[in-house]
Amino acid sequence: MSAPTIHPDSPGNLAPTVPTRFRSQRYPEGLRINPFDLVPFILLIGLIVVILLIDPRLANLGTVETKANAALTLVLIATGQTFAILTGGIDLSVGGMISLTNSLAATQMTSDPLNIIFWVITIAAIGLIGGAINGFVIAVMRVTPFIATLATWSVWSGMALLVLESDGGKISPPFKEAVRTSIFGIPGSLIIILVLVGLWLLFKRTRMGTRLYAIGSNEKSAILSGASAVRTKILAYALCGFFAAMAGLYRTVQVGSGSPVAGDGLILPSVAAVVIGGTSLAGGRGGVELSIVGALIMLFINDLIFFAGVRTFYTPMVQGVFLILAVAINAYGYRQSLKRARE
Amino acid sequence: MADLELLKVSKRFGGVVALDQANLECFAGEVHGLVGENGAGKSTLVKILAGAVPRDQGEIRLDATPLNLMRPDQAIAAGISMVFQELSLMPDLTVAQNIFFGHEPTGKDRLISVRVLRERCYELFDEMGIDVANPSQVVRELSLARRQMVEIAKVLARNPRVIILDEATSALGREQAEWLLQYSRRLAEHGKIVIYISHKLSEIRQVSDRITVFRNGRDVGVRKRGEATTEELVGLILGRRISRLYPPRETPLGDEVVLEVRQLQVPPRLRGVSFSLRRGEILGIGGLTGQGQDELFRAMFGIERGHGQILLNGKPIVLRSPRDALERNFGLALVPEDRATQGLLLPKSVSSNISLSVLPSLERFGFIQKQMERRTVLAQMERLGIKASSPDAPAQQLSGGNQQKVVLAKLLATAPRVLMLFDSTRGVDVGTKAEIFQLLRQLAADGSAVLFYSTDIEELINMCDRILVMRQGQIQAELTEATRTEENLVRASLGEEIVTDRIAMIPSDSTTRVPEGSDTEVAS
Repeated sequence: MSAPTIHPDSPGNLAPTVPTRFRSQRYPEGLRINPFDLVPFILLIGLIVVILLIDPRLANLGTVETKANAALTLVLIATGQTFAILTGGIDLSVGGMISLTNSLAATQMTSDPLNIIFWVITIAAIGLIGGAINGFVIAVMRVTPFIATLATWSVWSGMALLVLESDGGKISPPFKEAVRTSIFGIPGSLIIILVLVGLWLLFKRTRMGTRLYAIGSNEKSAILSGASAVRTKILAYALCGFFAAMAGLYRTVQVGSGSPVAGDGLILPSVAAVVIGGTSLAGGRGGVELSIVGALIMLFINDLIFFAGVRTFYTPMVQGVFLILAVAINAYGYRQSLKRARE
Repeated sequence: MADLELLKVSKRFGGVVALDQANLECFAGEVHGLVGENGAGKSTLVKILAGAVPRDQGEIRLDATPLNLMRPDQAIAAGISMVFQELSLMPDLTVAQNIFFGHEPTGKDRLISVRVLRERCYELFDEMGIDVANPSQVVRELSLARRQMVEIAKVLARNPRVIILDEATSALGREQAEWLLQYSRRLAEHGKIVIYISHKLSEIRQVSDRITVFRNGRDVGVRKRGEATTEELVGLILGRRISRLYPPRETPLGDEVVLEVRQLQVPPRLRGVSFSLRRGEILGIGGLTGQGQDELFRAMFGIERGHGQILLNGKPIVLRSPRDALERNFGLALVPEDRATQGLLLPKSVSSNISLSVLPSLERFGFIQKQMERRTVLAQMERLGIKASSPDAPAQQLSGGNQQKVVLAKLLATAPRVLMLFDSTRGVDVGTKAEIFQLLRQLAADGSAVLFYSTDIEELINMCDRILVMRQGQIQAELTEATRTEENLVRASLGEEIVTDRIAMIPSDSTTRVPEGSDTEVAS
């Protein structure tokens, strides 16, 4: 064979006996940015600027810590929700999972370090297993994600009520201290958010990451290409459950007590954060980094409502309106970019 | 013993037997052609081989080793890869991600890098000897032809032993199709097994070392290169002889103009087109693809707003939506190109698909009269010879040819004055095609006018009374009976002058028989 074999995988042994000098066209590598992809980032920066204009005294490190602490719950759930939505599904059971883990942490965790470690691991495992059950029901038993997770939401919520009948319990003080630690002046919750982004960017570059997008983009094609939809979905929902459990645990720190209905109000915001960030509900497009931006946008909108002096029960209304706007802008921008690309 | 053997493979889909103890033997170093009508079982057979469809019975052996092949990943691991007719690409991933999906090269950090992926893509393209697509582009943005090339590159990137090409050239341009034929030969020369399925008998005869013919779920014969004539293959495929693919005009053409189009424009692609269509006439629209034909049909069916005038029986009409075209007694009907997404509600029954277009006429006091609906549907099904287990069978259960007939039935139920066909015969097997052409002639004889766009030159030449060749959004030439030749059609498509001063009077009748070795499309 005259041509060198370039890689064991490539059809190097197919080169003709008379080597061709063909060189395929090289395409320009410039980044093509769809302006609509920037909408969430611009919105976030805009909100920060407006808030700082309203109250310039907020421009200090203390604010960063407060905001990071406040944002972490939603950031965690939205991170998990992103995995489910990227596969083209949705996870409504995050609400029940948060209630359950919040109730467990608030009632079972003592000040004993061994006990704390035990419960952190147990709660993580509950999240992973509960999520994996979702994935199994969806991928193997073929129940649509909406119905499957609506059902498990109810199941987890019931379990939460078994653990804790009404709001109560308290946070284990050493655990709270551990979570609230700053390292080199950087608050713990901010570190967690940064680590999340870093891990996600690495995950995106693994085969599993590619498969997650592939399944959401076109499940049938992905299977024909040799991917396992069952394994990918179980993993995606397990991760979603895990992050919901972590959010439940963190909520205990944040609020200082437990509630068997803690998660119910967080279902809509979790989906909204993902969608406002720009992840497609159809699956296959988006990412955790965007959902974190979406979560921050939600947080600052709440702040703005607070600043405006409007009563806080308007918040869900505003969130709902933003959700619809985000979906519409996202879909419109996507159609525009396709149109341009095809011209 | 053959290197790849499929022995007594059977497969049922519900009550339908797709494969009945079918066999296939292939040798390393050969291109093996598969031919047969739609529903003959060849696509099912290769899907079984690719693990896309699990078989009910039978054995598959590669190099004498029995293979399981119940899932696509097992076939890929065994070195069997298929270029799928309905594409296996993930639209939101990039070209490079698609091509190396499942065996992505990783960098030193054991992670996938965009740069490494891109470089490996270019290496692959260089070896293939053809430009495929921008590795960094998202597949959703690519044209159908480019997607097909990516699909082929994706299979080649796995360096499989057995390569299955199912209608792989149908979405490709002329040059790319030519390349694929040559590359298939080269793959075979390097000891691969290439299994090649195509509608086009000439293509199959050109590329294959051996050809296996399928009929009714069984293999009915194997022919070596040069051993079988087109005539004989067609006979084997159909089990009977086709006499006439293109029925001749039997009634003379009238003078009454039904439809007139004046300076119709849809910027930027359609730049002013005028023509008239007579009662009983079949008017062909030709030219290279993307010369404004799409826009012309869309504007004439009210999908897109065009500038200019459309006159029906001498009166100007305004089309704001397809509903206008169909319902407001204009009697314009369009048979779309992609029947699956544009013409049919696949999960719905044959019956509801057909009656959908005439629902208002079936209503009494706001309720649909079931008996009237049934009568209309049965009449149309009989007229077109639609083969379905019952009128209530979902349309997706039907073969491609029968689905296309359902689309026709749906439109014919409206008794259209002008029937427009936009490349509707693509991918339809020869038997159904002959029936569709017969029907068009009959419609024309009954007084409808037909506007017929096709990418198949032979069809245009043989079916149409006149042909308008479009180029860059305008009419480049009009081919009448005297100038209607394949040469002139190609010349006009490329913007050259047509040849008139020659004895090119080929009467439409002389080409109605299937000519030996012609580019007749036979079956899928």
